[in-house]
Amino acid sequence: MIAEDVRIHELDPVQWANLWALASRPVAGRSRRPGPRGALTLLHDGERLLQAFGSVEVDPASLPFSGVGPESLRAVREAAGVRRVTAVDVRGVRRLFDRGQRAVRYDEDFIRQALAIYGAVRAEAEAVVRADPPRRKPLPAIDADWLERGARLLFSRPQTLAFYVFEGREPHASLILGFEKGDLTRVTTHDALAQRGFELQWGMDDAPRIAAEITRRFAPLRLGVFLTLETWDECRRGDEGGWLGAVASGRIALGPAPIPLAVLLRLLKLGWAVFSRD
Amino acid sequence: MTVSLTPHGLRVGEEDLPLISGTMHYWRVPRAKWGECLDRVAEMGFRIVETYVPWSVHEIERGRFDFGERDADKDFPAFAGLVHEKGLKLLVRPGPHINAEITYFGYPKRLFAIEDALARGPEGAAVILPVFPRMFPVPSYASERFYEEARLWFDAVGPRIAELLWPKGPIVGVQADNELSFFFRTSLFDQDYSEAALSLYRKFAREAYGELGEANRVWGTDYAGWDTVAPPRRFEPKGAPRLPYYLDWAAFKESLIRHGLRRCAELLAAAGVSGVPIYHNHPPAGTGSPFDIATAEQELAAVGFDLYPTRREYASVRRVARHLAGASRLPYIPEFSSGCFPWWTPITAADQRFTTWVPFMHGVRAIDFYMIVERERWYGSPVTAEGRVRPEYFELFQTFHRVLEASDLLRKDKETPALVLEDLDYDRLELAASLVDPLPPILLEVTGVPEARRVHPDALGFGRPIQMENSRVRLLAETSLEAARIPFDLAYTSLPLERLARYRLVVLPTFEFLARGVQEKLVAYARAGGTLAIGPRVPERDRTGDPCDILRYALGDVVEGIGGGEHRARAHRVGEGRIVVVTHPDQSFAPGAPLWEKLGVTPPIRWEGEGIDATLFRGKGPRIVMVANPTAEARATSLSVPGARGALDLVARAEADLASLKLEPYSVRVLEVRE
Repeated sequence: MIAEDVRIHELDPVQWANLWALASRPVAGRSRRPGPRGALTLLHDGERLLQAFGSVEVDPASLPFSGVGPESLRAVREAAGVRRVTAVDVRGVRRLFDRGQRAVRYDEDFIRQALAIYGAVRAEAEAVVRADPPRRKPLPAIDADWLERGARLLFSRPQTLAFYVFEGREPHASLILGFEKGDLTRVTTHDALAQRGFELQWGMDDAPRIAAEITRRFAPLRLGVFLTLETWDECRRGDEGGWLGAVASGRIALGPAPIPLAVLLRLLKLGWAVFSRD
Repeated sequence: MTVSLTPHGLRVGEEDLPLISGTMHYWRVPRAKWGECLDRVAEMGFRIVETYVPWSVHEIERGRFDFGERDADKDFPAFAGLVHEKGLKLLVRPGPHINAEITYFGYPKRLFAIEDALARGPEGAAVILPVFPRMFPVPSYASERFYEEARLWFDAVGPRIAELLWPKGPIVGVQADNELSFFFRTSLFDQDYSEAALSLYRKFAREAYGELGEANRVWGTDYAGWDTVAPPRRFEPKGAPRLPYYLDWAAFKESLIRHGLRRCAELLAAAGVSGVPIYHNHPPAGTGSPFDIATAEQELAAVGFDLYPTRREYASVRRVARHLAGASRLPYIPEFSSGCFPWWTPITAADQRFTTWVPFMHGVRAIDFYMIVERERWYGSPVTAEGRVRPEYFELFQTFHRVLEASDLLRKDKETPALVLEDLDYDRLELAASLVDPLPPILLEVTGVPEARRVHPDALGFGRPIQMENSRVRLLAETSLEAARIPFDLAYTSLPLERLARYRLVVLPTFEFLARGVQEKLVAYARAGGTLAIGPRVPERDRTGDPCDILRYALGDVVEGIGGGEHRARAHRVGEGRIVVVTHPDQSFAPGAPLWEKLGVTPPIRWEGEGIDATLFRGKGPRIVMVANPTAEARATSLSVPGARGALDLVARAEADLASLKLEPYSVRVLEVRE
């Protein structure tokens, strides 16, 4: 799923930094969930609360900790005035580490390695780490074979994916991923095109040209996602129908899109046109 | 004719050469572009290039290597030859560990199948390094089986390096291994429990105690023979083994790093590499056990810390720089971000315009900018692998070199009256008492968990939990000095006496126990005329728990009480100097408290306003003042430099008004004082 020699190159420093920051960009007017904010981590040995740290400064001795039962953790959360409390049994951390690293095979794919660790510690992690509010469902099992088959099916031939967020005519953030035989083989940004003389002219409207250039330079573009920074912020605020509305109205351009996705897209656009009329 | 280190950089034959270099990985740049890239590097002002020489890249199969015979891009001797031809010097880092964001960190994959070459966790599992794009089991630097394999590599690369040593070739320094530190996993009970490591541990204990009975007495154990001695696998605050049992395991792990460095240096020497400094870089994991620079420099010419900061990390860069200035014979950052690897917090030109100056402002004298020529799995270098220039970064380094030369900064001394010491045993105790072992301290640093909140809260038989109090009291002292504008360096108690003597004031948080050797050294420092501030407790025991009141015994008459009432610190006459006992650090170290002033320790320069920082450098020629604004808002300050009639901003090449100095957000101004 990830090639051993995955090539990561020509990352534009600013675009790369912007890409990391996209999800945490402050968005004016975005409504916040009401209620307390912040989180607290408790370290305990099954009986005694040993330490507490997080977004609030509290003396562990002042917290009404009486074990890792739901009532106890809820009482701690309310006393600390935070949204979430996570309690870690320090006696279990070493066991989790040991199980996790015993599960890793060095010559396996990275995602397989990560899932092997996850699989090895999943059951025990539920006991070592408790939270309030509690998780509604247990941690799900993830089948690495199934994932790998899916990757091979989707990316059997050399192909690429692209994601562009424009600010005016220039990319604010960009990401181009290359795949071969089900493996991620390349990670790059628009810089890889720009440094070889490819010039943007219109910003978002350059999407077809970008798609053609990526196809020419690397491999056929299977899916390109293009939007403006303004649209990104609108979607995060939930304006104009959010993400779905932006796709249906064309403010997020998907092009090219694989046939099943293209069909869905047309249906979505049709539905949007009908139901969004005043 | 040899190459040596000086306190200012390198001495190459008769020439003093600043140790300022930039990294280029020859095998990741098309050979046809080597020349162009090196020309661009020289145009920025660099005179030294640095490169790894990676084992896994050159090894074709066990014991067979390609140095350009198959793949022209791997022709290391040709690259070094070209560097020489261009009039540049070269630093090389042949590993065996290199990281360099290469899959498997430069080790050949076959190594991981050799079971007795691998490090082990306390339960016997191989220690896995969870890195992208492949996790792998790390080798044990205690294992001679590992060195057998590494020797094959050194036997191949060593003679090639030896052939290219200055003056025949451009090589003026060689690094032994890279970030040798249990692969960032520095928790005390995480590793290494391999047979090879246990054997070295027993040897270490035997050398420390001589007789097993003595070890049993100090540890509170009952081992029947040295071969049954086993290290701790977890911290038992109420268990039978006593504290020294844990402290010794931490001390052993520090020695294991030195063992690895020594073995790598020996393999290099055996392969013909000599006559140039052999140095090392600790990872950007923060200071503290197992990293003890002063002791590691008994093995190698210089040992530094790597750093990859964003502009918001001023305090941590300053902390590392202060530590290097205090602990190292040549304060050196062998890797400093010039760009970054993709899976770290992004670093941009805006970060580098600020951070590039900060280490020098706080006493660093040597640096490598990593990477100066871009390559895959890296971004943000001033020169791309095709030899193209990124102007914003390129001009930054041109300015940097121009200002460094104009200011003669590397040959000037930062005026630093104070040194804040940290005792290694207290630090080892913090590591032992970690509640989240084996989570690596570096991970906890990144996530911002305070040191005192990660450790066991039990007092362990002392008045208060030393593992919590030590960092708290030290930070109080540091904050107090900062508030008084008194510059200081940092170091561990392993620092030799002659290095302590450079400072007028030495501050060390002390508690119930302190190693006998440390107590003797501190008393000698005070007797020779130094001012030593200790507390809140005056130690009465050695690290073994045996009575040891050398410090208490040395305290002469109280010559002065500093502060008011029962919280006052007391200065005792000791020889030519004095020892100040600070029993109530919360009061004595409070901002505005008169302690430092009463002790006659005053700031070399003063400034108005909060959020600003400044340091003063003296030497031949005009004094230099560096002023930083490490905040996101523009600031203005008034700077008072005794005797100054004005200043020239060396970056902007314009006059600067010291009485009304404006500072952009995240900026450093380098000012030449008009005397």
